[in-house]
Amino acid sequence: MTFAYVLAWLTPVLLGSAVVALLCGRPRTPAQWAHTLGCGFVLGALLCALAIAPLGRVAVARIVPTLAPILLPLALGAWVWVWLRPRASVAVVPAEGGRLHPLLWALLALLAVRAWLMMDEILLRPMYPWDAWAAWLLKPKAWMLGGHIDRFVGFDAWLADASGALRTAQTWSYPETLGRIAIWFASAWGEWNAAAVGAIWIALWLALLCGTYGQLRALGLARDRALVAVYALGSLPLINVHVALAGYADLWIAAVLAFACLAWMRWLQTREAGHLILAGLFAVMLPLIKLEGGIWLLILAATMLYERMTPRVRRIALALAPVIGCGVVVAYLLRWPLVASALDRIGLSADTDVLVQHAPAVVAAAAEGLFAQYNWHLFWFAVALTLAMRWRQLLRAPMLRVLGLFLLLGCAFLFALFVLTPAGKWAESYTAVNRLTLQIVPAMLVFAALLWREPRPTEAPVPPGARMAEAVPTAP
Amino acid sequence: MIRLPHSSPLLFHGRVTSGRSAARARNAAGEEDPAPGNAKMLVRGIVLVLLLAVLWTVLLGWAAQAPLDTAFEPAQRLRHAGSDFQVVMGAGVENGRRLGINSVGADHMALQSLAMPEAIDAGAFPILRYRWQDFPRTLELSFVFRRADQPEDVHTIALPPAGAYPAYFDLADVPEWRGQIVEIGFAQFPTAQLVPANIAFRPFALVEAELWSPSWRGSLGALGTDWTAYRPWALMSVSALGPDAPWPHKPTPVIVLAIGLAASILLAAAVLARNRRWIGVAFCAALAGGWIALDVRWLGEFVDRHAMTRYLYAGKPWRERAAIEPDTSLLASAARVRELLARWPADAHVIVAASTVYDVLRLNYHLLPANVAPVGVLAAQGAATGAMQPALLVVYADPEWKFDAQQRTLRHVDDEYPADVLVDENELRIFQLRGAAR
Repeated sequence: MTFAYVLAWLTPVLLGSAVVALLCGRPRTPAQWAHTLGCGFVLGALLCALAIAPLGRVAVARIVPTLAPILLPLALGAWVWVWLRPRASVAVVPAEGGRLHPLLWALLALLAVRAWLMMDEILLRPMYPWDAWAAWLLKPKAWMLGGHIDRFVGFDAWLADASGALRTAQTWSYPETLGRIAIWFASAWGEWNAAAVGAIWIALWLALLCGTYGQLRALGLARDRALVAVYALGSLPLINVHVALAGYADLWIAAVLAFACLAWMRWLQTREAGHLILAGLFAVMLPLIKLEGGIWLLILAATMLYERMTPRVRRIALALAPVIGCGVVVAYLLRWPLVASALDRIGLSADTDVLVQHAPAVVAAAAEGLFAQYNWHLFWFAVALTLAMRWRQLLRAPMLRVLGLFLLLGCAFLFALFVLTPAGKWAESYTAVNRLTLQIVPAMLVFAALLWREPRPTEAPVPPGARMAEAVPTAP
Repeated sequence: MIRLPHSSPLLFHGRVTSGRSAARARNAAGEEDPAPGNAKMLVRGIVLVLLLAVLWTVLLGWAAQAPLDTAFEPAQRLRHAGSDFQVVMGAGVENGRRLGINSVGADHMALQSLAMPEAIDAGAFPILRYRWQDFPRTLELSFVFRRADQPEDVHTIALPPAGAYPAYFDLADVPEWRGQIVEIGFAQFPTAQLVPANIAFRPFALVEAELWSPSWRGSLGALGTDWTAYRPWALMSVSALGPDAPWPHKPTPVIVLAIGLAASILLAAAVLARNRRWIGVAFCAALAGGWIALDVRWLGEFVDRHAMTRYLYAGKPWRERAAIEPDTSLLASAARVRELLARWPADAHVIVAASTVYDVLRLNYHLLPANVAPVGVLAAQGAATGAMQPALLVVYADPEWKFDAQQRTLRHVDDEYPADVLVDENELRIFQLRGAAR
């Protein structure tokens, strides 16, 4: 391990955590440190990747030596500023409670066992899963072995290029953020090494667990329950697989989306601008990681906008949205000229009769993936049970209702994607349905976990029979 | 601790308090302890145990697809010792009643078969029980058979690899297992897209194979084997766990636990007359217990998968590990292309073609840092490649690309490219494309 590789790890951790600390306040408790470092690492890695973009066709050996001397002092300066600045108010520090119950230690031990398994798998195995070597890590490997950050272009431009400085790939148009994160670490390592690159995914998993724990605690979930939630998140088999067989982008989307939602929840709870900025930072990163991140950004932004509407506008939106949505679906299925041609232009052209015929099989395959395969343990049953048992808490907490609305819209998007478009074949073959679901699972788990908060004194119960729209004035 | 401050209207309403709490209430009021209450609880407890036993038996029977009209033990068993099988591919030697397999044959495959003394009715023997000694995790196991109605066709089905204990497989899940069976056998080959063929083999032995008539024992055994058998990593693993193992599956423990636990709690609540609060707590406790049980099972599976990774890669430096790739022949072809490219400019355009997408993309990956692209580059262009620079076309095991030596053109489907042959060795051909297509 070289000094540059150590520097490559220190820089995103310090940079991202400094930004988080600047926005959310200096960490004081273990939970706040977990939040700062967990969210900070993910944010820092993404910022380092963005910082590579302006360098152009730089030699890979120069990436960390060029950027670290800029980013590291910035990070240290931010930390000094965070440490020294006077605090306008002392944040409420959640009590950490007494000793951990032995059962919780057992859960943590189970997490530790899998962490070792995943780490060892990453350190030993060359890049294995299909999209890792065919899409996401193809570019950084080409850059690393070629020595330069060459531009990837479309086939026409590549075929016509006589300079030799352009490259192409089947996935040349995919976002390059993940590739740049990989080249950040690989270039610091000094050669292309799958272990040095794959280690980012175990760090991502740890960051996801730490960040989620810290934010759940800050949002008022009791320590023991937050630990149970973190165990539940860390133990999900498909998430473990995405870490062990590193190289896919879905876990990055999942982590960034969860952190955006958590920061948004913090803002709804505290109305401190820093949390909203952090939520915005994470949200705008989504389309830079993977194309469907743009859809998540759109849905999240729409829900955030909805939350800011007046009760009257909300009621109109609640009434109109389903009508418009159903109208578009009906027009699409009946191939009405204007709607159908518009959808055809964005690549959703399909024989809708065939889609309708396949719909039951697609729904069955999706349900099997969620409820009957080994991917999620009993997660989706747990979500259903939580909703059944804690629906009063949902009525009492407006911020959870908007998070629930975001997740509902996200599920509707996935349903529409698989049932109403040719993407249904990926559901029937199980190749995409669980991976796309994975992207909202951490946010869904956060939602379910927060429903297990004990009622806060400020959250007045909604009278029985009151509709959700009418409970809006209780929103913070 | 989980507190339930409010009960949910989605759950049952509590009907009466439990017998024990009612007794406590009466005692607190100074009443005499009513023995009939305890007796009633005892009866309810016994009824509950019986109902739960029936519930789980039915549930496991459903999951195992056990026939209702059969006994626990099979009425008929066709037993064959390993030494009854003949080695068809590879090399083996009889070791007592076992058949030791010492090497593989063509394509790194081994095959053992047994011509049945007389044809058997497939429907009468749907359960296969098999046992191996030291079966390596690097190999995939298949069951092969011939039917009397199609003696030329060999039907193949992937089997869960057997470990130290006998394994069971329900052939009723295989549509081709019907009619009269005249020959059975086993085949082994390196796990596809995971294990390099040249290092996959280790000696092992076939201990025995049996065909059983329908029975609960056989069906439950097949269920147990499906739930516990070693499942190697597969390209599918990042998309779905379960379908990533290649054999036909039974319902998973996830669905069995979910149904079983929910039904057990509802039964218990009904028989013991528990209230909504108890039901809620019971559901949470059952869910937590079920989750941990599934997680322990998953960790066991993970340990198994990881053991294979350690077998292949542990203790080796990165450069050596990087060379241990499942696609040995693609790696060799990539090395050959690289030899050629050493005489070309470093930024020369290289286009890769093969008959499968996997081969195209893997070869593309192995050829880096060459300025390489998949054949889709040409396919996207069709005949309109006026601006095309001279390039190398690497064709791997794809006979669809036909070269006309006289015309010095390379034809693929409807497109034709001016080209020269640079290399033509076994599965690998390399052409120099001279520019625009015609």
